[in-house]
Amino acid sequence: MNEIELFTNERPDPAPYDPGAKAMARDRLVAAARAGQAGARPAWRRPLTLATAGALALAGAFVAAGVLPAETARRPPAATVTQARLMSAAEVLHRAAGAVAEEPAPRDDQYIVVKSQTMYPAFQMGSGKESRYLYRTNRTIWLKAKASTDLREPYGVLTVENLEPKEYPGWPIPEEAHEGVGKSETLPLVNCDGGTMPEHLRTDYAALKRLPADAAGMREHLYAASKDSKSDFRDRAAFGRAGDLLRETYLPPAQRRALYEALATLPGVSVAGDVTDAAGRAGIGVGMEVYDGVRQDLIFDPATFELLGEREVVVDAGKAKAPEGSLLASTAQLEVSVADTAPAAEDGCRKN
Amino acid sequence: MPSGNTAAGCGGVRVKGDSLHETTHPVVTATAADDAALIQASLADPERFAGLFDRYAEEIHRYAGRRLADVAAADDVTAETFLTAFRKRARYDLSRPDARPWLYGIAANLIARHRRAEVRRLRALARLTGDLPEGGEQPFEQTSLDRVEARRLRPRLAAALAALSCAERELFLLVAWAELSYEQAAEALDIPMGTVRSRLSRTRAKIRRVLEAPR
Repeated sequence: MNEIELFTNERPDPAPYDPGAKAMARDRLVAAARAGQAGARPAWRRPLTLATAGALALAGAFVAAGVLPAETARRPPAATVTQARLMSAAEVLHRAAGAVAEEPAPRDDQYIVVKSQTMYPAFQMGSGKESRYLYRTNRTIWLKAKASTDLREPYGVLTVENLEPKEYPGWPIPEEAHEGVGKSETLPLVNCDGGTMPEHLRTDYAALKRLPADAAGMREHLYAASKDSKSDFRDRAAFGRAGDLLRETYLPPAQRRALYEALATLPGVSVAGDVTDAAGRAGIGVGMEVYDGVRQDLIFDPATFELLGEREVVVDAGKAKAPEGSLLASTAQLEVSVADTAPAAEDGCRKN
Repeated sequence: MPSGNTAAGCGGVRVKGDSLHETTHPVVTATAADDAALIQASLADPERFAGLFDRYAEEIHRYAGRRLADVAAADDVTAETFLTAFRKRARYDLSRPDARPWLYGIAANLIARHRRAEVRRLRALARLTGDLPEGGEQPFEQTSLDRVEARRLRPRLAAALAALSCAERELFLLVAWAELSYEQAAEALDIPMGTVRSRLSRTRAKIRRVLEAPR
């Protein structure tokens, strides 16, 4: 064997080409071809290698991998930040779609179990004074993989542990906000008033797995509920529906891929870099302004592009009546699993 | 160690312009038969160029993945290879049906640039950690790059690679890892066939010496 053959035989096995990264590279090439700007250097390339701290601060999200450059930090070398790249919302979503792996499917008689940490605003009126605060919980939800559309049938069980509340910007925390902190309760999930769950609003696994597995079909589904509304409202409603499909659910891999690709086509979706979820994990936000001065983001892991959680943040102080940058909602989806049984919960509806 | 051997000294490969070639044309493979036709068509209809990506992106990515320490860098090099090729497509020599040597030449250039960036990063890291060169014979950045290489390759082979100059390493790996023919490697690096032959035989002798040296 000569030296060349020796090296050919001992070639290192490279990591496979990530489908998301490949799709992105191809998209960029096609975009360059379409733009006809053959000589133009795409903006995202600028801070490719060892960007200065200033370049990092420019805008957008950045992805970290490797070791940190001396210019950006006097932190210990163990820290792992570098190779910053500006990514568009579409690029983040393509990567997220590419990162979705195949997983075993739950049976219809099983439960989807989701553990999360949440913070949402509480608005209280009555007894003459209004109060606002941010309530925080640890939640575990057991959802029947196949739920009845009859709302009187329990569709799952929820345990909630109440955590210390936080202040809604500019509002003192009312005393009652502290009631129940540290305590857990287990509740049946049921709607005692009855009624039927409309097909297009269902989020149980059996319904989710029937949703379109292609981006165009999924996009249509996102817009289906707001057919007759104004256009910018429709975009927000579509983004809202996407959140509903992902929050405390199990969206099968094919539909999850289709959803991320569909979201990449929504007008107004943009990236917010450097965000954290309720558990303090750093991520990339992808979202839009969803109501008066408040932006909602899905948060993705900057390395694996898995969904970490969500957040809502004030982007227009005037409209939101709270300082810009205030965090109004923050969640972290910590674990999704499948179980054969759920804990017992008292039937919440009194049977008369 | 021969001088001029640090990774920092690895200049970019000359990417083909319109200089003269004494090479014979490569053997035409079935899949590559119409690369030139596709590139020509992309002059009028730029989006057609994506067809070249579909043909060779996996292959270029594989080569970049072998040459670079992290996947993100291989992703970048692959994306940038095709963007650069797209920008230069008007200057492609249409008498060459197989575009792979041209693409490898562009990729090799970008990989060399990445390795220089890696050296800068290692040097920056050395300043942070105070990890200074041991023995002082080789600069710190070279030994570190070698360590990266050794992790993925048998240490003896990595040592042999480290003994090569940049130009030798570039040519040798295009032949050994990308499995280009001598003609294709000449095309990729834009050097005459005579140079390819003499450089490769010198390279092989060097490798043999390292592999046969007592430890």
